[in-house]
Amino acid sequence: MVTARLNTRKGRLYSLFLGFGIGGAFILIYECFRFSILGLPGLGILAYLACNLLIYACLSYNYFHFINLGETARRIRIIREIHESPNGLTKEEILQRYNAKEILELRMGRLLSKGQVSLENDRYHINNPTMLAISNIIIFLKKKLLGKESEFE
Amino acid sequence: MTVLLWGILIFVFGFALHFLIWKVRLPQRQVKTFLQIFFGVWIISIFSLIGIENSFPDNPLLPHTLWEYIHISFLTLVIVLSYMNTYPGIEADSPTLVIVHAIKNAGSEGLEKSSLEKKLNNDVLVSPRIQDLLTDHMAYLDGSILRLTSKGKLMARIFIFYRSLMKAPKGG
Repeated sequence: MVTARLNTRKGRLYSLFLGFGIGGAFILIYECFRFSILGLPGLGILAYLACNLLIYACLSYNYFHFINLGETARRIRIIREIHESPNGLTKEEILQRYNAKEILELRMGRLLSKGQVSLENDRYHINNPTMLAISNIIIFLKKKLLGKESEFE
Repeated sequence: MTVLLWGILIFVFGFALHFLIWKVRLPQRQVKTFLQIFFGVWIISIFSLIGIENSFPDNPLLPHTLWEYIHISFLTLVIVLSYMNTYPGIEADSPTLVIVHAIKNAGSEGLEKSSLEKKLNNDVLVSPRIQDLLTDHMAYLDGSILRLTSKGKLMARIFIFYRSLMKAPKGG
């Protein structure tokens, strides 16, 4: 929170990773100190450490998702637009405030600025395979769980 | 070892049941249904462990103290929450991932900007998410006007408050 408010140049993602790193280091130091006092057997220490680090990693992942929801979720943005209009909004009014054009511009801006995608002669190319790997994992899970690649199939 | 083992196993039991139910029939309100599944599996598992522990009080692989039961429950809860947060990305198509996939499918020639705009229009990107708000009771229709329910208003306030703390813009 502090780095996000103080350091806007490096972005919120940097502040998130910095916070996770500091928290993780604190847990490691605290657990080592605790186990040195308790004197548990070796395997017990490793299992407890793995368990508590897993809990910390899951909590960090959930917090990351909470931040990401506010950053990219279309549902949250639509809710905010309706909330700002005390009399509610029709679908057409929502589309005037938030639409596919803006969604595409925001996402292409992020992909280009993070170097995931490049633009050459008005054509987009994959520049870094990280997002493509994530996309392949999600499609694999969609196929296994829902039996389809897209919600529109 | 006991906490790590049972914390993960309870999640695996819940996930297996969720997978099987999804194969039989896809529920209308998916997130709500799998939360009910995981909560049910958690309750049954904890009571089963208490019962088994009474029969085998010296087994080192079983939890014996209240603290261990709390620790197991907390570990299961955070894993379930992590999965719950990942699930909307599986349920609905993420525009970023659809963009990346479309660019990949275009091959070495690359993807024209206009074809992306044609593929990802309001009917694909916005209308289904408005429908989600109605299905999840975040909003309701008053004639042709969308209004927020108390659940939707609470959600809006949480994100407005938090993003103002982070000095972040509207997002989307």
